[in-house]
Amino acid sequence: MRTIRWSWGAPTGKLAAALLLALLIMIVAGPFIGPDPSVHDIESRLAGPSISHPLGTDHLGRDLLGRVAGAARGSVTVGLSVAAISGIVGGLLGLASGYIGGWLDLVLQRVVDSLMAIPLVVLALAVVAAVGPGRGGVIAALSVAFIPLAARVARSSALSIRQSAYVEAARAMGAGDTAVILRHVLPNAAGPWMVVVSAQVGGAVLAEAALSFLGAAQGGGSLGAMLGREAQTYMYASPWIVVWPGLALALVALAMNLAGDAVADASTPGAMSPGRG
Amino acid sequence: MRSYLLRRFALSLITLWLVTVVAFVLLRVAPGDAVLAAMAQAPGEGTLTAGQIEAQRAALGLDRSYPVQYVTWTADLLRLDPGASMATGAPVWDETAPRLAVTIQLALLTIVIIVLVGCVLGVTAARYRGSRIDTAVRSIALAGLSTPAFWLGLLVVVAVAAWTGRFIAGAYSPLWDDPWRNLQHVGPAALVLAVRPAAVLTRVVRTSTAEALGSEYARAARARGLSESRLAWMHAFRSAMLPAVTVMGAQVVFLLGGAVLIEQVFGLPGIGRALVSAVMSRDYTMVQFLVLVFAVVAVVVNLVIDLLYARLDPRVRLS
Repeated sequence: MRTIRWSWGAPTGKLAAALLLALLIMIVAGPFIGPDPSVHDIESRLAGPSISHPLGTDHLGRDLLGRVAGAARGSVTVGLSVAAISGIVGGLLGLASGYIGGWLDLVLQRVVDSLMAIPLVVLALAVVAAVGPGRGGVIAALSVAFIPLAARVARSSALSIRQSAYVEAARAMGAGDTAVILRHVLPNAAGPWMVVVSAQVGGAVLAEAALSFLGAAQGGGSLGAMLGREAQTYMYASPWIVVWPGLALALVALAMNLAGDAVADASTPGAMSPGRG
Repeated sequence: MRSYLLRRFALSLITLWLVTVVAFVLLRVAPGDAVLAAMAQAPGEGTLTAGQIEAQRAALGLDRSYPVQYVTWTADLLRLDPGASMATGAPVWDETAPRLAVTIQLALLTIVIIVLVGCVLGVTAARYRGSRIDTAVRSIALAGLSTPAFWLGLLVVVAVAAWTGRFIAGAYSPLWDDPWRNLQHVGPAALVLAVRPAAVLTRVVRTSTAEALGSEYARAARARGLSESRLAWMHAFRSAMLPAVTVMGAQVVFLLGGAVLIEQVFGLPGIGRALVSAVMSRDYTMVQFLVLVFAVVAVVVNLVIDLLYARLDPRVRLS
């Protein structure tokens, strides 16, 4: 809570909040913004921005504003699911690895190393090759690809908490493993874990866009899918169909990066002075 | 130093061995295989009978147990034979080698751009920290950090087509056939691919150079009459090298993933495009090998960076 209040003090924090709010409005009120994207206004296909179609239309005459709002919703849904799944699985693996240590830690660390040695998009594509294309496949693929990061953060917190003086004190007073984990490790590891997991939402939205763009998310509406092969066929006739979905993606990423900067500034004492960052 | 080197090398080998396990297991856990995918892709040619499917599986070695498949695959790999593509039947290595050259050229050009842009912008911003130049560099870096590279690539392709009437996505010519035309394709791709990593590097170099410029030794150097620019470039930048080298490791891995997308956008026939088509046809041998190739490049780059780090910072090799 304190971090949130401090982040608010930074100008980047306010900008991030404004962007996130705009995004939220677009996602919640998406279906009510702009003309219905399921209407095919063939007469005015591939049109630029106008009064009736604020962002223009695509090759089937569908309204781009409506489509972008719907696709942003799909993208954020995938981003949130991926961050949640990979955060929980990776977090538990990391906690176990750091707290129990020994052989388990050694083996898990090597597996995490090997997963991190494979570029994210490549790893996710390999999972898509196994699970098959589609939204479920993409969520599974990205969750696997994002697990190592969450695991790494949770492990290092668990490791430092296990060796801390207060855990030593609790043990000296007779606390068992269960008590130490529930009373000390989980509450203290939750902070850094939350920061990383929330930062993963933006990363997952961008990674999902990359996979959909490559054709892995067949049928699923997302910002990346809007930039796929169809759009690339018609982008020479009307660049707007690639401009808007990408701009929406960039704004999602910008909001996440600004929020990340604000949190980082707020949690580094003395960093608010000018000339740092 | 030698024991550090050996340990680092051994860890890299273990990582790569685990990558072979990960790549193998990932592709076997789910239902479906290359035979079924080929059938689904060519529905016009009639459905195969169960017997024909079994026969094709046997021909590809997919009927054997997983451990046997894994051991055969890795044993062949050790003899530098990654097998034959399950989709085309051609040797995987023959299909990969020319494409690998394209990706390596793209990656090297991109790395040069990242290092040049990142260091110049980072040190300049630190030198003029707090000024308008600094604000401009930081804003540009933040924008670069937030722009999806493949989208930027699409915009570049469209803009070039609109302004000059030339389509740079496609009609690729190999480096040795026509270097100038080759650069017209690879150059823009490398520039676009460099944007995000260069933004990350700029931020890191700026922060650590600025920190060094505020330190005691920088004050002492100023007192001795050293100019601010000389101080920034000759002294503060040197101490910014360590964090810069560290982030470059992760950025190179990121860049390799980004290359998959950028090759698609700019129509470059590299291993990234090969991977995408292999994934779509469930060409196991091809996907396994390409995942391994990406991992080998990433691991080697990180090994080199760690060694560089140990050279730059004596504390690392002594601990």
